[in-house]
Amino acid sequence: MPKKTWTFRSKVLLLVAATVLFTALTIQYSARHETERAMLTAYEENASNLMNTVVLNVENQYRSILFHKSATLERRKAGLRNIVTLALERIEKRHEQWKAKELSDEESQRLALEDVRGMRYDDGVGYLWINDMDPDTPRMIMHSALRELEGTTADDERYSLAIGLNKNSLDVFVAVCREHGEGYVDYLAVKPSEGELIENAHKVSYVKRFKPWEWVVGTGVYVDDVEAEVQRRLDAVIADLSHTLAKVRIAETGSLFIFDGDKRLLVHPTIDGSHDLEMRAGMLEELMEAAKTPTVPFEYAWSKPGGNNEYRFRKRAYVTHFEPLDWYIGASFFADEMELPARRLTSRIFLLSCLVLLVSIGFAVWISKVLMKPLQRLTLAAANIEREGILAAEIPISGSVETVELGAVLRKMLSSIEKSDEDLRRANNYIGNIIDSMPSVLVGVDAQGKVTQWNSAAERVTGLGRAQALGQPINQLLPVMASEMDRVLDAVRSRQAFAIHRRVCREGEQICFQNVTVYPLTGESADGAVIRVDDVTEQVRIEEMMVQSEKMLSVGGMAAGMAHEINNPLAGMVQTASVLSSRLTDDLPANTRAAEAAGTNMEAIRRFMESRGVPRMLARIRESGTRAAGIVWNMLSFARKTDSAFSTCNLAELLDQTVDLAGSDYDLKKKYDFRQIEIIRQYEEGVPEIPCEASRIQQVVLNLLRNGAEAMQEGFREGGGKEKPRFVLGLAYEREAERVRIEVEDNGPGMDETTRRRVFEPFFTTKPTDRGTGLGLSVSYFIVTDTHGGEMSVESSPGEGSKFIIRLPVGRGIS
Amino acid sequence: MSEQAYTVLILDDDEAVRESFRDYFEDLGWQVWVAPTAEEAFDLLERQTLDAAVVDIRLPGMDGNAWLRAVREVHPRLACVVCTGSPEYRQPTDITVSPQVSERVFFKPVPDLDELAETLRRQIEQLSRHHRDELGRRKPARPSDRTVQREGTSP
Repeated sequence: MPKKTWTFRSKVLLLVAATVLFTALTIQYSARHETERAMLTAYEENASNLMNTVVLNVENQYRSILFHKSATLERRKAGLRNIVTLALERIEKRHEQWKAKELSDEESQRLALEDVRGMRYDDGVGYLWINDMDPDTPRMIMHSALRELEGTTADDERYSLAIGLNKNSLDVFVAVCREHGEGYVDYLAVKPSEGELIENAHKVSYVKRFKPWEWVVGTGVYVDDVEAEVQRRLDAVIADLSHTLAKVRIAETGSLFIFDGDKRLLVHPTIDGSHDLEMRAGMLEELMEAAKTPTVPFEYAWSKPGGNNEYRFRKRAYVTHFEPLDWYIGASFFADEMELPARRLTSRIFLLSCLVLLVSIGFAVWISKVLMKPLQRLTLAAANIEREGILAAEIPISGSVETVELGAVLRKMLSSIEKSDEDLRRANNYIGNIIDSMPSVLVGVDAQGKVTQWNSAAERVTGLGRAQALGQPINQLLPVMASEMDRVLDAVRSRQAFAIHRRVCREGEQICFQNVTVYPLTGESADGAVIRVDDVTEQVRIEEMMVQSEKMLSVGGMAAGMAHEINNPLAGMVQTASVLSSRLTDDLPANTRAAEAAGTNMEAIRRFMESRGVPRMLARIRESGTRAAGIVWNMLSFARKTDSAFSTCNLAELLDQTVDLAGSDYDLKKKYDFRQIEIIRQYEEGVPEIPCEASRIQQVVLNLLRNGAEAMQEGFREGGGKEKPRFVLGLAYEREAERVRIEVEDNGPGMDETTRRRVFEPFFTTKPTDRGTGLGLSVSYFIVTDTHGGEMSVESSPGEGSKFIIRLPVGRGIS
Repeated sequence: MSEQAYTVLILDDDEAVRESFRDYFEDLGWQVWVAPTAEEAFDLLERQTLDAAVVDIRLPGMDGNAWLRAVREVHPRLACVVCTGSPEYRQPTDITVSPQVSERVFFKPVPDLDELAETLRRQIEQLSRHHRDELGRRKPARPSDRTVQREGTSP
């Protein structure tokens, strides 16, 4: 792995870790923030609610106490009224007696007083009194508890007890009765209790006027015990609250507290209520001030319980003032404790993040493994391929869509590389084939003239295998290059091609010709040259032959003009000789008559003629004339025809006709019996008809049969009749080349190589001069190649017979 | 050699050739007329009805092909064989298909005159058969006098 390049896996891991960390931090920050706020809000609300609840509770308790107090007072007041009403009924009874005159005025009043005096209640504690309503100084008339007060007037200081503006209780009684007829009066009196007197005990009295006698009848009851009861109950409430609220915690150490307007701490979880607060000066005043806004939290520094009075913790409090009792009720908590859950949450989030990170990394490792596995497999396959070639490994197609696609693309690429390789190989083979198929000797040499390329023609010609030739200096391998090394090197250096035309060389007895061409390589890649050696012997010979043919053509052109002129005299000569022969030897009636007229007879004349050799001479005249005509005829064959007589022709029929013709050939018949020759026909099926000049082709074939027959005749004679003479006539269709092949094969003595090469040359003949002009085969060659656009060749070796092959194009236009 | 005696015209501009043919056919017992030009041959045929003609092609004035075409119109019963000194001669198709003219062409010098005579005989017979058939198709009831006469004398 190269430096500073990240692997896919480390990238994935890094990414995952970064994502998780980022997320965790973000969550942590916002969570902490949010949590803190939420906690703060919650606790503030909680504190406020708690405070309100306590306030409500206190209020309820207070109302209950107040209700209890007023109910007790009402009950007692009702009792007072009943008792006074009873007393007034007795007084009324005495007053009735007085009115009935049963009793005197004085008596009735005295009895009435005595009746009321006797009315004691509450185990003798309760008593009644009567005073008069003297406008100046009211006077106590009767007092059932303190008899010594009877007769005393209002100016006695003992009556200065009433609560209110008028301190004199008697005056107050009278005033109330005068105004309302009855009423309650509060005042303070000395309360006689068990063994002692309680001064200034709160007392309530009920007074009612008895108008006929202008008396005020009253009774009273002490209500100081009711006050005491109220205080007792309040204390119980505080105790209860202290007990209950001490248990209430806001956050860790936050709490509820109550203190009163006298700065006495009534309820506090940690500071004993009996002591004054040990606290920062002015603290309570601040709290009192804060109580004016009970819904707004008040923040201050405070010491934590057990905090050694270090007032450095932020604290928040809600305080409200309960006026009826002059209580300050508060709920407070430490702000830092709000942060605690947030901190706890944060650390939990941190832990969770770590866990998530671990899990994510694990997951990422797994994922990257899963992702990387197909890639690694691809890499492995690719490495194998790089190391061991294209077929070393199969490209795996697996994993996700992307790697599957990658695999498919790689596979496609490989197959195209494979195909390119194949194409390249094929191209190389093809080029190699081309080079090897070249009939020319093709040799590549480098800048030092050493062989780098050696084709099969070179192998064939030199007999040296490629392996032996490669790397050898060219001048030692090819005789034709023996003295040309310097020129080759020059050509390579100067990049100038050079050629040697028709270098004459000897192959054994044969003279042959070679063309040598040296082409320097012009490509960038390497210096060197290609040497091409062509054996042009055949070409040279053909060219020579063509030169001859050209000559013949000109001969033909001339002959065409001359033929008629020559043939007419020849006809005169030959035909006359013919008639002469018959007139001298035949038994024509005219002959007989003429002989008799001359005094002789035909028998005598014939004898004379025979003895003088006249018929032989005449025959020689005819023969020579005919030969001369034949020469003219053959010469004319070289003339290009103008009116060609091409027609479609069935070659099988033509061959058969030609065989028949050969059988009846006059010239042939005289020398040998053609019918003795076995004819084997090997005609292929489906040979198409071809356009040709039937008589010319017939002439060619006939010529071949004639030559063959002669050759076999001689061979037969010389070889002692080892084999019966036979022709094999072949006819085949060369479909691809669109040619029809005619073969005429004999089993005569065959030809040696020299003869074979020259056999189509004009005037070349192996026969004695009197037996042939040497034009026959060259004319045939001309007819086939020139007139019909075909090919003519011969295969032969001594003792093996000869096979002449004629190839004629199917359906091609003829020149 | 019992021989049907035919009348034959030799149309050839070369006297030696004409004479050699005349000698040969006269030896066969045939009646021989000769003409050195096509025009003279026409004149002769105006005067004389003949069985056959040996026709050279290269002639001064009208050539042999033209003469054969002309004769086809005027003297359709004249059997003709071409004998030419031009080895490159190819008989034109219209002449070859004519029943009057032999497909076989002789080239001078004719090495075997008997073949020529034989060809002439065959051509005369073919032509007369041809005309008989032709006549039979046209007038089945009345064959021509001449045909009947020929038939009567044939071997």
